[in-house]
Amino acid sequence: MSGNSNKEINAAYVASWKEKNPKLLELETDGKYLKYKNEKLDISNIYMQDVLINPNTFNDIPYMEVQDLFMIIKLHVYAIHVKEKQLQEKVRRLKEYEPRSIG
Amino acid sequence: MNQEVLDNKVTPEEYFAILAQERDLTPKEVMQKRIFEKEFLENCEKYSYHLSQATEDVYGEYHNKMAALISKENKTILEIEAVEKYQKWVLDMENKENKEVIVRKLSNDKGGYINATIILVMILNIGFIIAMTLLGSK
Repeated sequence: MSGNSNKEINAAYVASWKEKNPKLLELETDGKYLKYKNEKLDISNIYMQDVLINPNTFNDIPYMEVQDLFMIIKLHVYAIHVKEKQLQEKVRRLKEYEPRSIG
Repeated sequence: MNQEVLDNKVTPEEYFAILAQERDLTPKEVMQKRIFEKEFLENCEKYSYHLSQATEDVYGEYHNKMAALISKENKTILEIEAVEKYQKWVLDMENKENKEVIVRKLSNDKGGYINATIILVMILNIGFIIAMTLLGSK
């Protein structure tokens, strides 16, 4: 999936949530950043649909307060970055122990 | 929120920039990293009902690491400090939960007491009415 289509998909998800729940109208996005009040969150490297895998979040979108949804997404962004760093560290260690070719 | 926290609050992007540092962190960066991570833990507790799978994984790993650290022998001074802070944080969460349970129980108990009183008064009233009726019919 290209970066552009991911941005479009993220923006579409946020737009659909705003239709279901007018309280979420304060959320703004161009697909790359999610903005709420004076906070800006980089969502270009996450899939917004992953936030909905939790059925409680999926079912509560029509009733949720905007600050709560923003925090849940913020926690998700943080967790994705931490997992990426963990994977990078694993790859680095594996490369260190790769057997060298002879000749 | 105290001034130290306000002065060292960072955005997620700033936090990740700190994580990406190859060099040793400055004391300010260490403080900023700790404050961000503490906020993450507190919010994971608060929103535990709605966490994404990735968030739950990272949150769960943190607890597992702390459990392993607690059972580690020969901890360094920093590790001892981290374990003490974690244990205090867990205790504060449990006390907060217990207070909420106690408040709910007291409310229910009060409600039960009031219900019993109302029923007793009704029974006495009915008994009084029956007695007056019987006396009146004689």
